[in-house]
Amino acid sequence: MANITENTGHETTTGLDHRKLLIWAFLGSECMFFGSLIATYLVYYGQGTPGTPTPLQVLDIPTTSTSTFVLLMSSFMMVMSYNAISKGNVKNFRIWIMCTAILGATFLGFQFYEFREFAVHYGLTPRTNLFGTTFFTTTGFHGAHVTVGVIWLVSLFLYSYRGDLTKDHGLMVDIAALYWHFVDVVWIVIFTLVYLIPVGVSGGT
Amino acid sequence: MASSHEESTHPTPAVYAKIAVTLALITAAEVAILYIDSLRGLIIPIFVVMSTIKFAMVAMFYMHLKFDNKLFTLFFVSGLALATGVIFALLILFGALGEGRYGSPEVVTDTIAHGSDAHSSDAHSNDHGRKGTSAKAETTASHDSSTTSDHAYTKAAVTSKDLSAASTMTIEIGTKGDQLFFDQETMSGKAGDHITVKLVNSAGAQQHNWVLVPAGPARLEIATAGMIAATTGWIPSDDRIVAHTDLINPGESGEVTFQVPSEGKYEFVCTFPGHSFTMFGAFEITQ
Ligand SMILES: [Cu+2]
Repeated sequence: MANITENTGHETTTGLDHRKLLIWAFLGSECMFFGSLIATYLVYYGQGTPGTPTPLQVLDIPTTSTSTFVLLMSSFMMVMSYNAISKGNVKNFRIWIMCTAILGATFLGFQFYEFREFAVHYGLTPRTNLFGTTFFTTTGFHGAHVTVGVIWLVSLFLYSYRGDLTKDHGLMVDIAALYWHFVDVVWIVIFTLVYLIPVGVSGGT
Repeated sequence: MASSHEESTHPTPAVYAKIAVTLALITAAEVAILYIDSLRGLIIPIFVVMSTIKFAMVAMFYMHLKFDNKLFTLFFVSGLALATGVIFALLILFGALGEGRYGSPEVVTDTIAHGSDAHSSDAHSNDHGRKGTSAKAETTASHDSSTTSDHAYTKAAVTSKDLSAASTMTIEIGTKGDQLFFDQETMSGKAGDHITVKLVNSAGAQQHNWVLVPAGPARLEIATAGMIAATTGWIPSDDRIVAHTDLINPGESGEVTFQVPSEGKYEFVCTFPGHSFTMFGAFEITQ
């Protein structure tokens, strides 16, 4: 494996670092986790109790596409911070990873605003109808993943000040980056299946 | 793939930046497409293709699957394939891919009012008789169901002549507020009597119905079959159902009039998905 830049420190039967196999196996299982949440949202789409808020009434595409853009750009920041640490440039690594965490926190801010708007302005909560239940469960679990990611990134940022986050420890950043990008691709799917397609097909702009 | 044999085959920052710009442009295009009416019919394939491109670019370049060991790709794609399979299987199973399903969020109330003819995929070909008991005024509902006494659903019902002659007793049953329980664990009716059961839904958010079924495994079987009967108020096409109310919205009530069977053990249950585990009780027949 010419492209493994870090010293794995131990021999494995596959020649691959077990920690990296683990994160990929984890992400594979996460696909199924989010897949079932999204499927449930789609199955119950349009089956809310009559008289309660519908997706068309509450979903705000301009705001959500802005937060989608923020999350996509955070993935770019993340890959730049990985690029920096794999070249041994800790200073640039710190800048990029902090930008990533800030964009992640911004995304969470958008989500907090969206949830509050739904609850206060439209009276939509997880208890209101099947749309509320499935929408808040799906996007809420994604938001929880982003929260974990932001904490993880800030931890790596702080860890770098201990002085031992070097090129050899690129794997630590690599694994956090894979998790972060995964959260990003899940949002790409959620944005399409939960927001764009239902609103687009119903002509809700 | 990675043609270079050099130390690092990962893309350069310039490539990463180009991908970021592409991702942003595709997202902007998606939003723009939402406002183009002429593309309305093609919107699903367009969005699926565009988001797949975004997904693939992040996975291949940012997550560098394109340059890494193929075992990583196998792990990830396996999970992804299973997830996609689960989504399609559930959509097909629950009839959510039916024509016009996403066209109107009001489709459910619509199809209840017109019977299930609109949803051929649900295979309720023989439930025309249920039209009468659907989302109409409650009194009409119970009356109609009694006039279609030849239908399997209403085998316990009587003709409208009998109905008007008999003085029907009304039994009221409610819900324990927002809890998934009926406010009574047992109800009873005299064999052969015509009775009216009035369901008062005192929940703040939940919809409920009241379905009379034979005691035993039938309750769970009918409730399970009801989970995919969204178009008929979660009431499946099943000959064993003795009587049922419509799906009652929170704060509303509805009733059904029927003839109490002469013998046997019966139970009542709410067939709204998930409710049947707690919302049921015994219906005793007195002689
Ligand atoms: Cu119920």
